[in-house]
Amino acid sequence: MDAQQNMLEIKDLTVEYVVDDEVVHAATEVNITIPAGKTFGLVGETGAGKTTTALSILNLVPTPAGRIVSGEVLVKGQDVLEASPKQLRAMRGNQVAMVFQDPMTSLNPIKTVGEQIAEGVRIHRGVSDKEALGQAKKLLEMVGIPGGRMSEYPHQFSGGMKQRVVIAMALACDPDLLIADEPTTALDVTIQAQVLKLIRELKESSRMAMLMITHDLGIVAQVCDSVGIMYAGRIVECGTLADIFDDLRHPYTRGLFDSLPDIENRRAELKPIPGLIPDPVDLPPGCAFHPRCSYARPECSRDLPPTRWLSDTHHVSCHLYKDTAENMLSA
Amino acid sequence: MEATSTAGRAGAPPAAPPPRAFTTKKEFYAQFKKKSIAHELWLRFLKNRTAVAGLIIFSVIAIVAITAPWIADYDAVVTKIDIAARLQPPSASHWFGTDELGRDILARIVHGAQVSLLIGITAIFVSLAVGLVLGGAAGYYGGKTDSIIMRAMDVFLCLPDVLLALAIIAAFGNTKLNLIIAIGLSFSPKFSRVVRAAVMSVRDNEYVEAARSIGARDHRIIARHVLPNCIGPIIVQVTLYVANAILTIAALSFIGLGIQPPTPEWGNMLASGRTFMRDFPHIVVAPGLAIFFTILALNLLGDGLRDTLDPRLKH
Repeated sequence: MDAQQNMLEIKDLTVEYVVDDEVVHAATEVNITIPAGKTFGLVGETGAGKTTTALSILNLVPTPAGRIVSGEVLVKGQDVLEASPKQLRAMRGNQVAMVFQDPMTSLNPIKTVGEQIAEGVRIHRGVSDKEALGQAKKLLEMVGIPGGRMSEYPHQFSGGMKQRVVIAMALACDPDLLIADEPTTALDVTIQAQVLKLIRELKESSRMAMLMITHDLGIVAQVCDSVGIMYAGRIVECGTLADIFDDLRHPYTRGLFDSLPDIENRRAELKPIPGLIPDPVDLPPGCAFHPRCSYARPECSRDLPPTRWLSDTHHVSCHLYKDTAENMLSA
Repeated sequence: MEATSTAGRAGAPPAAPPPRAFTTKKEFYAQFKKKSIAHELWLRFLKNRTAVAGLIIFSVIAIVAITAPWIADYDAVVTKIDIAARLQPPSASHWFGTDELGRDILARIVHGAQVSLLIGITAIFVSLAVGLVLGGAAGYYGGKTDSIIMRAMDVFLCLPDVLLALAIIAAFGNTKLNLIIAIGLSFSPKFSRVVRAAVMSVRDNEYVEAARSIGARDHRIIARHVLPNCIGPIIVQVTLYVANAILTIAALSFIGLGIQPPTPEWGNMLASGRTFMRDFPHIVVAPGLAIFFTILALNLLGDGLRDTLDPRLKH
C-alpha cells in the first residue's frame, strides 16, 4: 500500500481551544491513516476530541476559539491545513464530505430536501439547477427515499429518513472520504440498523474511505476495518478490528468493553469505568487515564506513556507495555 | 422547484395527465402537506383579533392609496384652489370639509396616503437592505467585524431619527428621493441590530456548518441558509418601522423639510391647517386621524405578526 492510496493521513495533529484564557486540549498528537475503500472507527467518550479531529479534516475547527497548533492533515496527499480558502471550498463536499450527528438540526428547515441535496452538486459540478435537482432525485432514491418526495421539507420526514437525506447530501459529489460524526446517535435502534445497512452497502459499492466517529462499539464491529480508541484528546490504542476486539491491550479499551452488557450472561453486573473523563483544561500529568486506571503504576502519574507498536497494525500507549509486548491485561 | 414525477405507482392511469393533475394519492396529499406551515401560521394569525383588525385597516388604507388617482383627480381636485369655498365644514359635497385654500380635504388625505405609504415603505426597504448586509455580516462573522460595524451603528443610534434625517435633507435638499434615503439611513442602525441578533441565533445551527462542509461560500451561506431563517423577526420589525417612518415623514413635513405644498402630505396639511385650528378644527382632525389610524393599524399588525411568528410568546 503506497502513500498515494491513502485517502486520509493525519500526522501528529494537535488542536486547542482557548476559552476565557484557559486552554482546552481537544486533540493531542493524533495520527490516523485511512486507505481508499477502508473504514476507520474513532471511538471514545463524549469530549474525547473525536469531533474536533473530524472538523480539522475539513479545516472547520471553529475560530477564533479553536486553533490547530501543529500537525498535518493530508487528503489524497494535499495538506488541508495549508490550503487556500478556494482550495478548501473545492475540497469540502467534493473530496471530503461530512454527515453530522443530529439530522434534526443539520437540515435547513425552510428549504426542500431536494434543494439541499442539489446545493452541493450545483456548487461543485457547475450544472444547471434542473440538472442538479435531477441528480438530487437520483441520490434520494439511492438512499431509499422515493424521488417524488424531494419537494418536501425536512419536517415532513422522520428522523431516520432525515439522516438518509443528510447522507444523500454528503454523497452528492461522490466524495473520496466520508466523515460520519456519530451518524446514528440521535436515532432509535431500528432506524440505526437501517442507516448502518445503508452505510455498509455504500461502502461495498464504492471505493470511498470512511471515518466513522462513534461511541458504540457495536457499530464499530459492524462497519469498521480498523479502530482508534481516543481518550482525553489522544489515541491510546489503535489497530485493526481483530486487534482491538480480540487482543485489546489498553486498560481503557478494556474498560469500554467491560461496560457493555453481555448478552450471554444477562445477570452479570455492568462494570463501568470508575470516575469521569478529566477536565480537558486541566489534564492529569502523565497518562491522562491514570486516576481511573486499576493498573496504574507510580510512573503513570509522572511520565507520558510511550507508544509501542505490537504489530504492523496495532499500537498502544500505556506504561504496561514499556518493556514487553505481552498482554498484561489477561490476568 | 422541480415538478414531481407523474409516473406514479403501479395501477395509476397510463394516459398523460393534464397539468396540475395528481396521478397518485401520495402526490395528491403532498400538495396539502406543503402548505401546512404557512397555513398553520395563517390560522394562528387569524385567532389574533386585534392583529386581523390591524390588517384590515391597513389594507383599506393601502387600497385607497393605490386607487387615489381614480378617487380624486390630482389637478382638477387635489391642488385646485377655490378661495370662495375655503374653510367649509364637512358636508355632502366635501366629506371632510375644505382647507384654507378651498381644496377638498378628503381628496388631499387620499393622495397624502399614497405619498406617505410609498415613501415610508421604500425608505424601510432601503434600511432593510443596509441592515441585512451590515447586520448579516456582523452577526455571521462576529469578533472584530461585529465590533467595528456595531460600534459605528451605535454612533448613529445616539442621534434621534428625525435629527439624522433632518441633517441629511438639510445637506442634500428635500426631494422625495433624498427623503427616502434620509429616512432609510436613519432607520438602518435599528435594522442592523435586529438582523444581527437574528443571525447570531441561527448561525450556530448545524445546517449552517453542514453548508460550510459542502464547500459553500460565506455569502451563499448567509443569503441562502442564514437570512431566510431570520425572516420572522425581520418581518415584524419591517411592519413596525414602516409606521415609524410614516411618522417621521409627517414630522419632517410639518416642520417644512419633508414633502412641500402643494403636494398633499399629512404632515404638511397639519402644518398649514394649524393657524385655523381654533376656529375650524376639522382642518387638522382629518389628517390627524389619518396618521393615527395608519400607525395604529401597522402597530397592531406588527404585534400580531410577532405573536404569530415567535413561538416563544405563544400562550
